[in-house]
Amino acid sequence: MKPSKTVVALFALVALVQLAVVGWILYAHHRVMSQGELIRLDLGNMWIYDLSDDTEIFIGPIITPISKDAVFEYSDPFPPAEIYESLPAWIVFETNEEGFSEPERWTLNRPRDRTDYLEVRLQNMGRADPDKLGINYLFGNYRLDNFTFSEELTRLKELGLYDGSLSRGVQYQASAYIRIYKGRYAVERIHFDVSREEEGEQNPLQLKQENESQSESATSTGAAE
Amino acid sequence: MKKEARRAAERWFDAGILDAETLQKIEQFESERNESGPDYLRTVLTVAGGGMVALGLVLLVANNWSVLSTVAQVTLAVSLLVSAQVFAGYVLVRKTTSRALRELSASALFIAIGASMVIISGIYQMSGSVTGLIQVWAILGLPVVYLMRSYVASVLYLIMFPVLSYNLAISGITQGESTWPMLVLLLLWLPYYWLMSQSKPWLGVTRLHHILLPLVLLTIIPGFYTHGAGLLAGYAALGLLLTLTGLSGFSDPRSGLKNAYITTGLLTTAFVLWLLSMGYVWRDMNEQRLMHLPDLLRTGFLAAGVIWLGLRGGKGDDRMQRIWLLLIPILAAFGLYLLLFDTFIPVIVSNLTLLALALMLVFEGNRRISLGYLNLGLFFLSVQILSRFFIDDWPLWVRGAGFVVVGLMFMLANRKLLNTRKAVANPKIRFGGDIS
Repeated sequence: MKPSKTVVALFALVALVQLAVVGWILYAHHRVMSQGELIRLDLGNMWIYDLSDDTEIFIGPIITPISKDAVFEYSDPFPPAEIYESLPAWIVFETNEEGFSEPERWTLNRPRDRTDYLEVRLQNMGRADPDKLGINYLFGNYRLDNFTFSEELTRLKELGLYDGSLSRGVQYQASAYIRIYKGRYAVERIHFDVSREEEGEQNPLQLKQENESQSESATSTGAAE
Repeated sequence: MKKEARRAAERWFDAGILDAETLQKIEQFESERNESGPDYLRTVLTVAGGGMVALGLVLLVANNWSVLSTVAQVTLAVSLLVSAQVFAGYVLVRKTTSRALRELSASALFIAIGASMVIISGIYQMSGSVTGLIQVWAILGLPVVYLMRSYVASVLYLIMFPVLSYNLAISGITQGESTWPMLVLLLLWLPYYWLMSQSKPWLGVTRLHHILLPLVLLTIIPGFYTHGAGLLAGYAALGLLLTLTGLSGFSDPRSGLKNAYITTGLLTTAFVLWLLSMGYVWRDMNEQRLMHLPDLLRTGFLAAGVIWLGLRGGKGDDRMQRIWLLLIPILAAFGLYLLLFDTFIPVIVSNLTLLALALMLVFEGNRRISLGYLNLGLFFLSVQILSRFFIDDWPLWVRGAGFVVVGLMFMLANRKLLNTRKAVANPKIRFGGDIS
């Protein structure tokens, strides 16, 4: 039985509405990214460790608070065991002097079959005050631009800065760049900066330079002898 | 003809009970019946095959997703929806007779609507509410169910409700999201369900809907309650309402435990009564929470439905209809708890109500010669008694004796019912007469 003209017309109308809604979502998202105010959120320091093989990377813990302005209220105990079992990698953020003993959870998830990029999953497990900072509503997978873990670790190993053991890691300064427009948020990128030096800590790049200068001086000494 | 039926017919033919002409007539009748029925296998294989092709394409694209530019990603997301729309439109206009293609195109369009929205949100790393996303998806997908008359799309639509309810439970309520749109979305779908159950009650997919709808109702009801104490009363009333809906023949014409409304309703009511039969459940209730007015109103609404259906009467002389009377002791138990601030009497009332439900099922099973009802009643009885062994501090010999009594009851009741069945099925044996 052929459908009546009314059914066909209704179907066409429904299809147009579906396209309009998807188009509107596209426009709303595009507006945030093009007109939104870019803010940089300090995520603090992190250490990157390599576990037993190249397929697993452990990142954490963060010792400094996420942000001075970020006030979170936590309810869930962290970390649940299943997180460690299910994820190949993760980030742990901890707050200290602000008086919040329980940590916010930001998991870093890297697909098992990929080695060329990382995804950070930001999950708010507790209840947060929406007036304080928008970060609590962020949810999704965020690609880390210009940051390749496997290459980075290989490079650091070659430089002798990193031996792959749990006892020694590489310190990074992490930041999230977020666009905010009319109450909506979008993470533009997460940035790991290896060049920023923290007080009392030795910067890996500095170590690299020291190593290079030591090896150069050793070579030159050897040559002189 | 089904394999079992064919074997039986051949056996009867070999024994001389069935002549060749009759056997041929039966085979012809069955083959015509099979031809006129819906081609389930073809539909299922087409939808499954289409799904696998789509998944394969998704995997191919996903594997190279990160190397694509944002414009390419957005184009893919939108073209996914457009191509699904074109395919569905083509099937709607040109391939009107193919049920398999209709199901495939409708389900593809239904999934494409949500997928395109999710992909665009993912591309721009946007914040947002999952609840809102599913609600928009449902609003845009419901016309597809109606216009394409697709059973698979309807099932997909129903599956969204538990997901929606779960999302509301974990985040939505704390962020002030309302549960009422969920109810409106379900009500908008009901006419489709009603038409399907009235026009094609024999289809397997219609029966699947009969199973899914009560389960969906059970999963969404917590979203309408503020406190767990009120929810228990709500679940008890909903259990009775589902049972009575099943008994009334609404939607599902089958009787007995084959009717998913009756089975789900009885299990829900019994489970709530079992919980209420334990003292610590009442002790954990907070009187103020129980007296929460919106929760009370919702339970009152469900209870009014139970009373209306109970007084309206079911199909024919159905004594099971009296099950609505259990609402009285259930509500009385809550009322007595609020009046006396004591758990002892509500626990006794709940235990007696569960006992009454179990006995009612046992007697109904005996009356209808239904092993299903009988064993369900005995099962409720056993659970009630056995749970007392573990929860209450009874002496060991009492527990042992209890086990023996319950086991004997099962054996004797089933034996008696099987004998009755045999006697009814074969009057010659029952009355000792001779047909010749």
